[in-house]
Amino acid sequence: MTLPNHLSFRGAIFIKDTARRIYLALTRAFLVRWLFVLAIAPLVLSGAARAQSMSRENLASSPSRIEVKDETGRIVQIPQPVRRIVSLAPSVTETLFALGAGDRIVGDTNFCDYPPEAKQKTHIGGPVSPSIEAIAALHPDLVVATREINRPESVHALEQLGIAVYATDPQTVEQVFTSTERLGDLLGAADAGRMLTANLRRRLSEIDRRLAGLPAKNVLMIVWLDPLMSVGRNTFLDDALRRAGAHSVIDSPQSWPTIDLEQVVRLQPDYLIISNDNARQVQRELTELQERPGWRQLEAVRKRRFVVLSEAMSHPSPRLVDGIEQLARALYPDAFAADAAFLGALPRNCRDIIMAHVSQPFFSLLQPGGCL
Amino acid sequence: MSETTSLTEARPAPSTQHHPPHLRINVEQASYAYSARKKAAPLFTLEATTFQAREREFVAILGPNASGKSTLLRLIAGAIAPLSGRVELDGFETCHLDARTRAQRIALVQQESPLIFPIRAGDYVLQGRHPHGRSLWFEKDEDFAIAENALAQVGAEHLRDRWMHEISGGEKQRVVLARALAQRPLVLLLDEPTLHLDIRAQIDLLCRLRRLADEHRYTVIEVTHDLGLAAEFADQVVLLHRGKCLRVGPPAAVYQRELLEQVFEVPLEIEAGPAGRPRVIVQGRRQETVHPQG
Amino acid sequence: MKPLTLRRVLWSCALLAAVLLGIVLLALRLGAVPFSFADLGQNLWWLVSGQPGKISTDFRLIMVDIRLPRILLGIVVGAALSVAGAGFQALLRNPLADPYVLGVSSGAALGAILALLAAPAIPLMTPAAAFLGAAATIAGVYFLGRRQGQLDSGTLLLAGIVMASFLSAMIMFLMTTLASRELRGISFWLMGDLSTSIPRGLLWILVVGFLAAAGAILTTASDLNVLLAGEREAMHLGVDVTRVKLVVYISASLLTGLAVSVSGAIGYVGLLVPHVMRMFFGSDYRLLIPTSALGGAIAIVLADTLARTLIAPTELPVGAMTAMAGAPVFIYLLRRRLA
Repeated sequence: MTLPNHLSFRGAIFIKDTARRIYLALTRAFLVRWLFVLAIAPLVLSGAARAQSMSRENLASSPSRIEVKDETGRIVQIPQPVRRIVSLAPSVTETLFALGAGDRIVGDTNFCDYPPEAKQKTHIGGPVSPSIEAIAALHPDLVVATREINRPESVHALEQLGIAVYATDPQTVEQVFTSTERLGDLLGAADAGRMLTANLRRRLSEIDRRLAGLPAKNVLMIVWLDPLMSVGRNTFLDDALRRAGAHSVIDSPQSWPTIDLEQVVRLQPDYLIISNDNARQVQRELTELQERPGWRQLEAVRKRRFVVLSEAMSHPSPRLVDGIEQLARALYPDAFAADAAFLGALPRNCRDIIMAHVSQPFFSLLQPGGCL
Repeated sequence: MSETTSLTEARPAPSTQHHPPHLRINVEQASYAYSARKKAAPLFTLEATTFQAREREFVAILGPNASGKSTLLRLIAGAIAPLSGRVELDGFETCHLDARTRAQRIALVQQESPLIFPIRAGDYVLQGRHPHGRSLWFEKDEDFAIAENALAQVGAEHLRDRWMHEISGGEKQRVVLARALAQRPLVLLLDEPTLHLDIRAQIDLLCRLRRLADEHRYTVIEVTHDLGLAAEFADQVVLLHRGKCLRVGPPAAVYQRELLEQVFEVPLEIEAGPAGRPRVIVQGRRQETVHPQG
Repeated sequence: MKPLTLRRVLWSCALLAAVLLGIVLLALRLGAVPFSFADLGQNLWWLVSGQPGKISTDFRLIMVDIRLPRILLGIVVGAALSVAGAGFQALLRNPLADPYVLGVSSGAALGAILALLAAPAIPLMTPAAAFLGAAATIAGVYFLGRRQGQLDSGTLLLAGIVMASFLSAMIMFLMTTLASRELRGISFWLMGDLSTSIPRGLLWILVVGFLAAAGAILTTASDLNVLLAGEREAMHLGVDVTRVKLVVYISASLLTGLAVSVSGAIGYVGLLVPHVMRMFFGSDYRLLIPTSALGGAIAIVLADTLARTLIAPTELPVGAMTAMAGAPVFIYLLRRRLA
């Protein structure tokens, strides 16, 4: 057996070999195997494409739309009038109810619990992971989201289906007011919006008046305990603290900076602030906090200078002003002395822990469940 | 049973043909050198070696460790190209053939690598048909027949459905040999095939190889450091020492006492055995017969 | 030993395809918004027979615009990850190899994070940047993983692990120092999430890319069988080891990059589906590649359906489902000593 000469040329062999392999791959078993996918897929997908273009047309032919720019800079086409709204964040739900548009809400998140009527609405999932299907099935005219909590992906997915999404992004207390007003304009509740914000502004200026000239108190706002997170600059919380006469000791460009205890000890805030509606949980956390090593070095912990606010403080909604009021009254009891009649009724060991609590619009210095 | 008869039958004498058998492997002044990095001094050099192997010949490449035996084998297999000289198979340089053509003509049996996924012996042998197939091919009846035949030739048909990781060392070695035979090569190269086998398995294997060479016209080239078995079975011996080829020839010519003692660095005695093959006697301790110290 | 024939391959694939079809129908039916099988059947028939006008708006919206693209995406991603996993297990000669072991997913994640920071408003930015990140990682690991000019399994594995750790560290660094709200969704992406909507064109690109890369690996399937018995042995059996390794490396990495750039790092699929398919169909790669592809598609569509329906209307990330199911399967495989 002898070998023909041309086989010695490796380059030609390589090319021939590869070409033959590709040819065989394409023409033989490979193609047969995937034939059913190739045959059926275009059929289904083209049907789907036709169906989708039809659904888009339906949407486009609905009555008048206005074009607005939302707070993240996107251009949104909103059908008028807006009859069905889906809210993607608790703060948005609160704002909508405050504007009197609560009955127009057809869906909100699992976490929307204020006002209580919000819990009765159809839930569409969490703010971070809403079910696009569920939202689409509700046929909303408008979906309202916030940049703070919602993901861009959810917004994109809804846009692709032709649903209008308006995103808010208030970063200061004043922006919360203007955001509320704009939302009111969009929903045809402009008057209600302006009245609401006028009221809120009045309450705020009252606080400003009472706190005029008083030095700000250093506070640490604890957003999360493990890891220890506080608020940074350019958040509505930071601004709200400022308006309540508090100065956050943390100065960070990040929105929710993780800080370490050393830093806090060095900065020695006068008060520690927590915003939570669950009294028992807070009691537990604070007790536990006092046991932790390192925390005892904080004056605020030793002297038990905690302020527990209701969750009103955590939401960039009209209820934020409630929170600011609560905090201001807690930090400067003398400036609000006329309303602080309850203070004396508390047992002695409770004096140092000020619980400015719960979901009533007027705060109460008594809190359920007794003192620590 | 073919196994038992192979142990007792007389081993055939070196084959003599009336016409010179076909020249298969021609190694002409082939040399090679390894270095750790390019342009560094070579760690090991195999110096110019020349020998020839014919059809039906059993060649043993003999030498102690690190004498360059495996390098020479790889040169013959075409896995590496010689630095100088030529290594030819049927007139074509082995290193210039593409892997597939080479695999159709040369089969190399090595210490096998550990298997990652379990595989049956039958499938393992079937892999020997790979050089003859095309991409995306499925084995034909002919391939199955050849694989069966290969297993039969090594006496391992009963192992066909057993898992490779469950059979003994000797059985595994036979299956590996069967795979090499399934390639239907012209040349069988074996790298220390008797290394981990007991004596019975060693003799068994070498007998089979001998028979393959004689009856089926293979050229068998084995690398070994087993002096005794090489003498018994080989037609030709290539003696290597530290990269140099010291002698090439039939066992009787190569097994000279001084030469072997120099290469293997142990005291030996050479006797003439039956059929003209030398017999090596290993001495346990060196007896100081020349200068007794008392 | 049962000989592997073309017929056996086709029958196995047909069986798996039938299972896949069943799962797809189930997935279409289930979800936050319920449909009955009768509804489904009728509307599907209208769809396929070219009468889109009769389909109800709700159906069209939910099924066609939301669920069907998501299921198709799941099929492509699942198939791509499984084939890539099988390929890497052969290339690295390691049964524990998965598509992410060479750092491709970390590179894609880094690309996605940078895109989220730079331009969160552009929908296509994230997949594109993720793919670029994956491609850069593939090239980097390739150059690190070479030894004497060739891809060496051991060196490749080490290079990949190092690259993966380095990129993960960078990702952690970015996530903690930036902690900005754009990164809120990144944890979803890191777990693996199919809820990002993909424009139709991109889906076609994925399908074509998948077919090309998986097809390339399929052509080397018989070589891979031999390669698994040992590299040196493979070379002496006529396999062009360098070429095969390169083809498998590039194709499997491309498949991983494609999958990860649209769906994040869905874990366990690439590792376990090939092993499960080996249990049923054997280790022959000519059969393993197509069955892994179909098996991966089945696994992901199933996991995604669970993710959508378990605590509806909240959606869990798919990666959470595959991890929850994958860990017990992995333990079971270990006990049977097949991994």
